[in-house]
Amino acid sequence: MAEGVENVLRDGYITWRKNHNIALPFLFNLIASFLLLIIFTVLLFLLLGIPLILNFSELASNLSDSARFMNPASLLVSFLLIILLGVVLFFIYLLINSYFTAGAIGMAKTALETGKTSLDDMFSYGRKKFLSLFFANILLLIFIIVVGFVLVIIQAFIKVPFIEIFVAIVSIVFALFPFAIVISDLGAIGGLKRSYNLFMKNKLLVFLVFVFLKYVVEFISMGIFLLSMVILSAGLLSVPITMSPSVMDLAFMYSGMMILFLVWLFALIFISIIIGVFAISPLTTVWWSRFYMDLTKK
Amino acid sequence: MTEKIEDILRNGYRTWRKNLVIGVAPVLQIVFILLFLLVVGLILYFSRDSIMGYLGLNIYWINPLLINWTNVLLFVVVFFVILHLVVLLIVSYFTAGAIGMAKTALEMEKTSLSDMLFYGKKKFLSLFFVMIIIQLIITLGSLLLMLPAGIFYYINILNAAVAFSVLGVSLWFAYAVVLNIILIPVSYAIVVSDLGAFDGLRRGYRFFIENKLASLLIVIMGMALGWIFGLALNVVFSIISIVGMILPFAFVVLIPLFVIGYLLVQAFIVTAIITVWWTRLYMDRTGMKPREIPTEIPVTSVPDPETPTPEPIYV
Repeated sequence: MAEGVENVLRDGYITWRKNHNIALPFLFNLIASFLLLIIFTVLLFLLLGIPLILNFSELASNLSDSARFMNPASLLVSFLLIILLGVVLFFIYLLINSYFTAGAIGMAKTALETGKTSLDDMFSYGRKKFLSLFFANILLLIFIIVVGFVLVIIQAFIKVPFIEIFVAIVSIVFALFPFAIVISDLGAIGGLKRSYNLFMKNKLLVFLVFVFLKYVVEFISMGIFLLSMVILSAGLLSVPITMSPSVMDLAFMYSGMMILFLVWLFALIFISIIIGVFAISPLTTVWWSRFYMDLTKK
Repeated sequence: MTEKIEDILRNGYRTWRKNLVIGVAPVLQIVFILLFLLVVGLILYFSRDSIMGYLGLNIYWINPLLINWTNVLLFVVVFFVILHLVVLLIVSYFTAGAIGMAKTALEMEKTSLSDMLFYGKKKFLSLFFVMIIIQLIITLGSLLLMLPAGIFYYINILNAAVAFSVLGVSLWFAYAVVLNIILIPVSYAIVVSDLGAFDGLRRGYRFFIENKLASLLIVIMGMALGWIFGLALNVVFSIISIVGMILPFAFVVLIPLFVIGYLLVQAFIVTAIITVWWTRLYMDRTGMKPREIPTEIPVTSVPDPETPTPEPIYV
């Protein structure tokens, strides 16, 4: 039987301390997502921009009014193309995410079993399990969308937050499915079933770990936010705050505040992402993996 | 060997289920506080003329020159201090009672309101003093943190004043939250280990430091419980609001009633369970083995007896 949540947390933390390279899959995932976002923006711009440019160039004057860009038919086509683009890129994102998540869980598993891990583990586990993980994600997504659609209709009549409750329940019940797929080497459906069964048999434990990690993440984010306040206050020292009615002084103050605010916002987002990638994600992955291995090692 | 967290949670929950009376203490706490506020409100209302006169106010118009500012300050300060102290007294009494009931329930499997009265009477003064001490610590810390800001505001360097205010407020927030969490075991140290205010403070603080992980888990579980309860409440409230759509006037009455109802039910269930959890954790980690339900080897610690008055001997 499980040695208890405290041991899971302690051992998991120690394993993470010794294997900081588990953060790498998350870093790669972040970079890949960012590149994908850039590609999406560029394609979006091309899709919308080129016809717009053509519209206002000399070529337009040679075309009749009905062939101009701004008619409803081509607008609709562009709109549909954008949605299609979004969907395709979303699937690509999901594929990449599944690969790196599988890699990270594989690294966590190796680190927990042998004490050390390396990027080779990420590549081998990623390559081996990313398709199963991808399909499991798709299945879960379809399930949530279908049920969510029904709930949205119900929620229009009865003002009860069904969707929030439903998503929370699904997240907890199927919390272990990526770990079942990677660590126990199951397929998509097998992994979902296994995570469901494990939850049914260990409801309190899964709930406890889930809630603990959720609040730990929240506490850390709050801590980061408070830390950023320190930086903000340091920045405020450089903004000329005056009570004088002179317009120039006020202009300096407001523009200084604006710049400071933007700098602080970007710094906050940047630091949150860094800490999220390098600390929170690998730690929670190791914790969940350790917990899963504990539950299935009877 | 000490109990695992999940067993503490599970057994603590079971103990609560068998002793729902534990929930009565937090409920009575809220009832008494509300009654007290009601009484204060009534007193204020019926003496409003003399109070207005004392403060220099006039119901027809308020002339800022005629307001007796020193009286106003005095009145406000005294009023809030007395309010605060009485509420704190009520809270200490019923908290001591609730923890005492939890302790008895964990040791003897059954508890009753007489335990609440017994422990409430016995420990409420120590608890009251320790709560005042803790609040003073927090207030003093906050004042210290806001001191630089105050200084800079006084010498009119607004840059630094604003900067230090932001810094001060965020640090104060973090300080208050952390301190409140760390000092949760203090009440339990005072009631369960029968300590005085200062000893309880020291013991409670040390308990948290020595059992950081378990304490944090209980804190988080308590928050999660509260969150689930709030969610369930949301559901009930939405269903009730449908009634409100049918009878629009009933709605206005229903909302405050509902808020009070929510507080009472939350006190009865959530506060009680959390109290039992902490009591069980505290007893477990300080060597007093609480009973496991259903039965176990009888616990070795001697429970506090309710001293019965001896029958007079007729010679």
